[in-house]
Amino acid sequence: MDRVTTGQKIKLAIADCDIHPTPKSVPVEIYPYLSKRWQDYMETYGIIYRQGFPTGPAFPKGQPNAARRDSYPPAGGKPGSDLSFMQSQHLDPNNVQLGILNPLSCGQGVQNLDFSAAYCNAVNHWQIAEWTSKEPRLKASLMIPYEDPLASVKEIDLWGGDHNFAQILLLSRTAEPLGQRKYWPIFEAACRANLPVAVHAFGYGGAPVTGGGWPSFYIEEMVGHAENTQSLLTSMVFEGVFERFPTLKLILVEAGFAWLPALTWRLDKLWNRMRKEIPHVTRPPSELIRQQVWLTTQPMEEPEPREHLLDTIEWIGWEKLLFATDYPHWDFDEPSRALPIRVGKEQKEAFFLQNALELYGLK
Amino acid sequence: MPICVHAGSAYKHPVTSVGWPSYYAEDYASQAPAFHNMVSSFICEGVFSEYPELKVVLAESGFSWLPAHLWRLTKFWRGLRAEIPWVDRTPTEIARDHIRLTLQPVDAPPTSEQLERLMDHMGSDEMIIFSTDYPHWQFDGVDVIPEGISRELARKIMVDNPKNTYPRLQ
Repeated sequence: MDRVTTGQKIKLAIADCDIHPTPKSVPVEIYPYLSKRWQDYMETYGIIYRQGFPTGPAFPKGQPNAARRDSYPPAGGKPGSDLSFMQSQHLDPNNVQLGILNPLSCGQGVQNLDFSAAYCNAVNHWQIAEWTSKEPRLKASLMIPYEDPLASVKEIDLWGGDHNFAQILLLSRTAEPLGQRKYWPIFEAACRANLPVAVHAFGYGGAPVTGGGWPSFYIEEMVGHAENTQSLLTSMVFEGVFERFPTLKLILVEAGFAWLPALTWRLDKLWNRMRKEIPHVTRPPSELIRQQVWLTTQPMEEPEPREHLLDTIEWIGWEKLLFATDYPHWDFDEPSRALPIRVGKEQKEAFFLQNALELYGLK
Repeated sequence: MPICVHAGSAYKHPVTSVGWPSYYAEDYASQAPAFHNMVSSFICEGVFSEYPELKVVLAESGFSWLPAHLWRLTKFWRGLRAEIPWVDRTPTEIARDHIRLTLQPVDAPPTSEQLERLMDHMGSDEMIIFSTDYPHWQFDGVDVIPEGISRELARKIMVDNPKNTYPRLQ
């Protein structure tokens, strides 16, 4: 009997809570939403980040554009710039029911705050025009110039009722730890708009990317996103953000998750010993985190034996994890291989889709 | 002799990669991620390839974070080992051979069953060496060895591992 192979394999429906779109061409796709003043500014001065290098990332990315080699659209352009190729390579074959767009290198954390606000606004328009209005499975991230909290509040209030947006987006390496009061207006506005706040790895806050200084290698930077995220989460806990904003939902994106239990054990112990220093934190950190924090799964940790990950996920809570692939980056987590452990049907569906639908209010 | 790195800071940089913490509790919490990054640096820079006899002891670092960190570091090594070709075996294997950690603060999970599972995740019974951190406040609980650690493992922690880490104790 001949083997008949078709593309129509019924696959588990998934959410992908970390997709990276990029403009085909900034002048063509973004300039229409920028005033001439900012177009001229970009042409003349470029974008100035809080890092020492005028062009390129501080750590060369292991792969060009940090992308999968096969993700360059046949019609041309950068990985992640072509919707129809994203549909045919990823959304359709992987049965993505919900895709969350997280634009990177899009004006966040840049030194010129007025430019940052203008560019974030432009990217918000662009996400709707080029992506979510054409593909109903995709939702946008509300980009904010987070180092200018008042301008961020303006942007949130502008778009807050628009259902193209599923969340507010910041980058993890902020100028001050994210729990500090400077950033509280953002959390207040997020609660007002009833949108979760997603914090994605990267950004340049000005500090070396580890607490012990600048590492030499890209691999250290990549692994270090877990540490950055632990520091920002610690800050949010001990500054009392979760107590002050009890309806705030925080999503930690692209930092992994297996580190979370050990962090909560450490924070609980410190909270127990030092209640007098932080009396405004009235509940154990582990409890606050369990109630108000979610994490995307990519890059999934890979213990040997794999079954150890089951312990870790149980300690975190199956309901806390949001599946993500990081398409089109090189460290993409392939949905059919990402969870190589036998789990129950309910847990599998929660992990791959239901948690995301519930969190984003899309059930 | 091993090199021992104790928790603490010379404050040459903000103590976290996202800036200066407001509270002592937060500063103390940040010691652990600093150790994670240090483990990455020791391994990725090839220190143990260059000095195969060297052992490094992490003191007052906690250890309950170690399995998750090595899972992550080893996963990224698989994708990025071209950048650090002198790292010729998994970071997990390197850590098990060259890195030791003191027992306190345990930063233990809430139950002894979870601690037992964590010790399984460590993948090696040779990595932890007994300590009390006397007279500081970080000591966890009242038991010298927390519940969830077997008698055999306790003996290794208290006797064999220190002897093998510090040759001059033999």
